[in-house]
Amino acid sequence: MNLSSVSAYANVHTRIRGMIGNLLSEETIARLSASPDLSTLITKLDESSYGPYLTDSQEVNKSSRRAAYEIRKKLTHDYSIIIKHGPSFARPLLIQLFKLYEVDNLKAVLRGIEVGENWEKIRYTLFPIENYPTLPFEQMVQQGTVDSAITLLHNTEYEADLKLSLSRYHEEKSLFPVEVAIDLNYWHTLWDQIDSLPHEDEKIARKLIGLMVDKNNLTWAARYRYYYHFSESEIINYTLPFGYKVCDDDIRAIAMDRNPYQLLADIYPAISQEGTLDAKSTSKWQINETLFMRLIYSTCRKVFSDGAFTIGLPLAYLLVLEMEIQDLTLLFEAKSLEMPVEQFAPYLIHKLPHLMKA
Amino acid sequence: MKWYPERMSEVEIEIPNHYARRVTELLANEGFLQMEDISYLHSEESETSGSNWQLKTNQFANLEKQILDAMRSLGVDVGQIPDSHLKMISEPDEIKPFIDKVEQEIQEKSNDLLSAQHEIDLRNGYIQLLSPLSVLDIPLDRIRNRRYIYSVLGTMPINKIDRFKTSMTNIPFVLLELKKEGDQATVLLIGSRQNKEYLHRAALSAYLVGVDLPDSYRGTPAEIIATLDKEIEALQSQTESNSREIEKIRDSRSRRLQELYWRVRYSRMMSESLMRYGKLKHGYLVAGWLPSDKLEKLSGDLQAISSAIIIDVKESGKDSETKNAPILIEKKGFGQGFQKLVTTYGMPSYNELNPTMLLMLTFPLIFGAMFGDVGHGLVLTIAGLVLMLKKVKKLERLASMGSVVLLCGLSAIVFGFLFGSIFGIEDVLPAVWMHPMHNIMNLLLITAGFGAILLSMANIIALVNDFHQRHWIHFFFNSKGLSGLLLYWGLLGLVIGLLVKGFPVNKSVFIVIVIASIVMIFLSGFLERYFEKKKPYFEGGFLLYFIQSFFELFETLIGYLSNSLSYVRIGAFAVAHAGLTSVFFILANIVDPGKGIGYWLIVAFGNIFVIGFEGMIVSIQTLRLEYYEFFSKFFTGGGRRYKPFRLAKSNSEGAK
Repeated sequence: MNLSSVSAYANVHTRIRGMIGNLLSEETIARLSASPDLSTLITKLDESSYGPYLTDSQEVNKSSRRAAYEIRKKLTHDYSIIIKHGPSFARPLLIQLFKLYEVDNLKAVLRGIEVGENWEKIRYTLFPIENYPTLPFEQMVQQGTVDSAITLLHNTEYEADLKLSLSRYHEEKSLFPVEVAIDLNYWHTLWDQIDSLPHEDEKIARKLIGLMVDKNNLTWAARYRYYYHFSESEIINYTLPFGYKVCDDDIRAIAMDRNPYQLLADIYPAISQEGTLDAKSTSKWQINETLFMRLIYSTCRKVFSDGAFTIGLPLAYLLVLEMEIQDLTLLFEAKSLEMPVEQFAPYLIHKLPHLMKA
Repeated sequence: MKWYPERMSEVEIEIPNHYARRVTELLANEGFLQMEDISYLHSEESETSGSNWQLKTNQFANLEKQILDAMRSLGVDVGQIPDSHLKMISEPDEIKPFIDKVEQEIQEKSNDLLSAQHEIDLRNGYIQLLSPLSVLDIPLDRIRNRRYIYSVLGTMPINKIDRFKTSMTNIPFVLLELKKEGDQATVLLIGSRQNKEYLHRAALSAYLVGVDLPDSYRGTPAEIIATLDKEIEALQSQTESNSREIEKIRDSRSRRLQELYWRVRYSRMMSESLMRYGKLKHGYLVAGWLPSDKLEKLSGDLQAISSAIIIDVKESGKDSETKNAPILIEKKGFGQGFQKLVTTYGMPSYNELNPTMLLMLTFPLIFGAMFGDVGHGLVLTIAGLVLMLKKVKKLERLASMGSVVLLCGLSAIVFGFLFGSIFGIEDVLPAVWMHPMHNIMNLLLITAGFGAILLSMANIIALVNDFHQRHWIHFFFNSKGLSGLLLYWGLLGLVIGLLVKGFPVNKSVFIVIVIASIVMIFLSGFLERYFEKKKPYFEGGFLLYFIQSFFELFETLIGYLSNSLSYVRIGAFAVAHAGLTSVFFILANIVDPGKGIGYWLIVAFGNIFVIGFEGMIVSIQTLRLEYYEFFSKFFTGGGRRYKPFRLAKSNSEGAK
């Protein structure tokens, strides 16, 4: 064990070990899933580490969207602690990882502007990062058009991508080229950030972030192939040339009509046979996507038990927390729509014990 | 600079309908009547004429904007106000056709100019894309519109090139990277026409933006560039011809536009003024203030228009009549900077002494005492001169403060000689009076005495103001009046009597004065109500009156004590100035005991620091003593600035 990495990570690892204790167990998720309605679910959740974010019960009970918005504040909070206490060499990567939410917000704001939504409606679909330096989303919405909103992003890291894709947005009347340009640039920047890490950190970061990239690449490729009917060249151009195990040949194979689920199972044999071969339907592919997320989840959980003083633990914790919040968001929506457990359980990243037994 | 604001007279002018415009023109051109808005006075018959002026005001305002826009497009400024007396335009429609015509002429030429510029930019863009291909000696058509070949010429991000090549492994293509600039590359993508759709979509997915060169451009890239150059040349000559046309318009129209601008502006102001007049059955009523010495001229000029115009001058003897009088203070000349310092505190009210001249005397005196150094004073004197002479363009706005800096500098020089200090060196010049560092206690006592003199002076000025304003109760009984002054002097006498052995006046005299003045201050509230016949005489009952008066008296005593002690800071700062400078000499000695370059560098830095930093602190302290210790004793302010009705000299002024 390298002594310098121990001293660099001692502080943040200690804090994260404490935070891990606050993560929801699969049993708790199962208990929450059994709640009869949204209000009961929120009351149960109030006893967990999400309690402080659910204090304004009237607002939170109003809609699943608002409840999801509030609990995401925990992720923002934990990110800020980890970035603050993490070693300085790891901060650029952690900050860039956090920027994923800014990218998501930017895309959501552009979509909202395009369909003419007002700020009050858009606001709670965003990730709550307003307490941190970010883009002027509210002013962008007030501009009323995508073109004028983009003028407010002058001198930001998004300016070049937006400029590049704006003419296509006008020609195609679709935000697709804009969103893809922003996404590709984000992941390229994140991947490049890993280069600056020490060797052991780089190794684990490439694995964890690489898994996320693999999931994105396979999902995008499947969507481009079956939903947009793109050509091989387009699919390659709109995906990323890196990842953990998925490579260009795999993407090319999907473009050439190889079943994405079979491919996924070949690359990651650990994924059980619960997936669906019917990858041509977007909703069914989501099951495969969930299986992949479960794989990432279990990989991250293994990092928790690893004693190495690397960036692995902060990354794994943040990814697990995000997945937990994804599941809670799904539960909020399912409960507000009064869905039976069997209907939404396949889309939960946490496996529900009673269903496993069944 | 005068001790009191200019005498003002309030007038009311009754104007028959027929003369309204001529009188308004006269008032605007003479520019010394400050009008009051009395539009609330109107008879029912006058309603129509009021709305008529409103309509005309709007029409003139629109015309003014139209002319300004036209002048801006032609690059013509508004120029100076014409010397000759302006005449109001009767009807806006008289000049509207001319302005519309000029506007149309400018619009046509400007549009041509803009569209030509757009075409030039477009062609320059084509040239930029084609120039890397200029070495190719084959017609572009043979690449672009071939039966079997599909090609795209355009730009794409450099970081997408490799990915694009990877994506095209199964399709034959050629990607020529012609030029790289920044993060973009000019590329030519060539492939089989059979794969046109595929190539087109692939190019789009790599964010390759193709140039949309019209089919009319034929020949080799070099030939097309030559054609484009020729077109640009033709467009440029068209632009030049348009510019010349615009210049012609400018030459032929600018004087007329400038003249019209001032007339329209003037007419708009006239209409606005007429809107503010009081409306009588057969005429208008104008009310306002003007300097008393202009009254005769105004009367004469109005009578010259018509003897039917009646001018009524109101009595201005009583305070209640003049409290609304606007304040005219001379703002030009050497005292301008000091006047600004006074108006920053407050505009003197009518019948109130303008303390500018006192400030011109006391401000430099206090500053100089705190900043006594021949060298530092000299630097400030030069800085003041530079400001006054407007030698530095960026500092022109501060020119009025030049006199303040200059007098402060001169005062610092005088005190520098008195204290024997030059650039902080205390052993070169002999001290004519004393070295502050060696006479700290004496200096503090002297400045406390100086403070007592200034405070007494402030109280005497307050008495003069009360006398002028006929506030007799205030004059005799107020804590800032005679009673307050006697109390202060009585207390001073007692203190001096206790400290100075063999003081010739018996202490009991001062005790009697103090007790008498306390009784007078105690009674002031009661007497004020008694003489103004306001009942009850003891407002809120005797007990409340007693408690209130007691605390007011207590506050007065504390006030005098703290104000007097406040002046001790003059001595303290004189000592601090010498002390701070000596610190830099000590530092210089530590760094370079041999008095080499290091020594003098630190001394120079120290002096710059003292002039800049301490100079600023001393200025603030001086201002504080003037505002809070001196002015607060006699200066109430609250006057309103005199703003006569006249044709504005500048655009921004015009709106007023």
